[in-house]
Order: sequence, then structure tokens, then C-alpha cells
Amino acid sequence: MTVADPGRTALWLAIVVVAIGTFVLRSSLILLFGRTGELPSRLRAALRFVPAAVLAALAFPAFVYLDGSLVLSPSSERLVAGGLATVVAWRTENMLATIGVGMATLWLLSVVP
Amino acid sequence: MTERIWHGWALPANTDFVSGVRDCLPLAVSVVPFGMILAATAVSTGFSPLQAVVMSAIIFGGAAQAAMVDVAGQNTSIGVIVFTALVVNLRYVMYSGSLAPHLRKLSSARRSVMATMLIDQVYALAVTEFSRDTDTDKWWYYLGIGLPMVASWVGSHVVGAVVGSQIPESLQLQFVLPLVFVSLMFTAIEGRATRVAAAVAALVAIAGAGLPFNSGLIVAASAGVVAGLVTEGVA
Repeated sequence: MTVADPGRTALWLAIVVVAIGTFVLRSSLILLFGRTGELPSRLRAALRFVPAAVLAALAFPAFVYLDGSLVLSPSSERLVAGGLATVVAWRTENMLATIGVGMATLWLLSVVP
Repeated sequence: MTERIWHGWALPANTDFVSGVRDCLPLAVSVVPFGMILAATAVSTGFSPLQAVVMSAIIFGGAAQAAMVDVAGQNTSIGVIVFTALVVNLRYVMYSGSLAPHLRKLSSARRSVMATMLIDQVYALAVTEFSRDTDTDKWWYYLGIGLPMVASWVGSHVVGAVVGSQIPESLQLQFVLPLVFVSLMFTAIEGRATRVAAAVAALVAIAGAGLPFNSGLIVAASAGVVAGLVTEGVA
């Protein structure tokens, strides 16, 4: 699973552009404050939901898709490992415990068919 | 502003720097395993070890870095990689706006330096301290929490990048990425409205996984935000 398509040079470009864009996001209101005043309250309300929504959208497709097709069977290693890890993440909010349980389950299931 | 004499040198606000370091130490240590795993995953996905380390220093944000590695592993275009990472980082606008009133008196140069270190942990510590004690020297306290975070984050990537090239593909290290996202998601969920936002975004993302240019992500995130706003308006 190597990055053949974009290639390493393109990855450098992506890294630099994301770094610049991220700096703009971070410094935006710290630098502008005083001229623009407070963040509009509607925008602030919307931004509050962005982290939870984006992270959920990034996470769950990886548990139910395998090579582009939907696999919702208990025999799917990713579904079981992702499901268990989700429970651990929910109960503990501990990243290392989540990674540990998820990866251990994935490895165990791929060794034991 | 505190002054201390140390070997004949006056160290302005030195104690605020030290208390920043003390406050951030547990967090700086706690990100080390994540940094190592993330760098190892990046290398096993096709990033060079140098790229894995440089991105930790100049992007300096675990969720966005993980998103970049995740999307790059799906053989998509550079535009999609950049867009995904920046959507993940949109939350920094919120942090920036929240810290801004506390930093009004500082020079633009200092505020710019501080902005480069604005991550979840630094934001949480800084906003807590600045609201608690208005006499704290903002610049030195912020450096006290920011610099150790940078050091431990980049340092852990150096170790992870070296180890990463030794890890066999059969370990399916890329699966770490969705696990990271799930864990961060539960940290971001606080109350019913954010929970609804996450649930709706997850369902739409699964339904829209086939959409071109990874646009399922932004459609799902937008649906989640709208669902959160609606829930909040109703509740």
C-alpha cells in the first residue's frame, strides 16, 4: 500500500500547503482580533460541531468498507475490531487503549480464521 | 510579571515559563506513543521518514496528519489530501477566536509564534490559565506549554519514522488511523447535540463513501454540523 499515484514530490507539496493553510486557520482570529471583533455567533456554533462530525466521518467508513465494497458481516475482521475499539473509546476516552484493543483484535482475527 | 535574579541575570517572567512546563509535562509525555505510531504508519503508507518528521513539525496536529496519511493511502489526488486535512483543522479557527481576547496586548510577531503551537492540548491549558489568573505572563507561560509539546511530538516522530520502515505490511498498521479518529471523536463529543452531529456524519459518510473526490467526507461533515445545530435549536 504505497503512495504510487501522488508520489513523494507531490506529498511534499501537500505537506507544505497544509502547513501554510493550518497556520492561516490558527492565526486567523488571533491576528485579526481588534479589527474584526468577535467570531459571529452562528459561525461559532457551527464550528463547535466540526470536530465530532469530521472525525466520525473519517472513522466509520474504514470499519464497514473493504476494498470499496460494503461488508456488514460478523466475519469481517475490520467490523469486529472497529466495533470493539469503538466501545473501548466510548467507555475510556483513552486513545492507546482504543488502538491496543482494535489492533489486537484485528491481528487475532487474521491469525484465527 | 515576575522577575528573578539567577546568577546575576534577571529572568523576566521565568516562573511563568516554568509553571507552563510543569502544567504541560503529563500531556507532553502522553502524546509520545501516538506520535511514534503515527510516524510509523505514515512511513508504511509511503511517506519518507523525513516527510513524516517534517510534517509533524510544520503541520503539528495529530488529527490532520492522520487524515493526510489515511487519504494518501487511498491513492487519491493531492487536492483531496490537502482539503481533508484543512477541514479537520477548521476547529483551530474556534480556538484562535477564543484565545484572541487574552493575547491583545502582545506584538504580532509573538502572536504569530504562538499561533504555530496552537493545538488541542495547548489551547486547553492556555485558556484555563489565562481565565484563572490574568497576571500570568501570557508569552512565557504559553512558550512553557508549547515548546515541550513541540519537542515531544517531533521527537516521537523521529523514533516512529525510524521504526516504521521495519514494520511488516501484514500488521495492517493503516488500521490505526480510524482507531485514532474514533478515539478523538469521543473526546470531541460533549452532550447530546455533538453526539447527534457525530452519528449523522458517520451514517452519511458510510452512505456516501462512493462519491467522487472523497466528497463524501465533506457532505457527511456538513450534514453532521447541520444536525448538531438543529438538535441544539430544538433542545
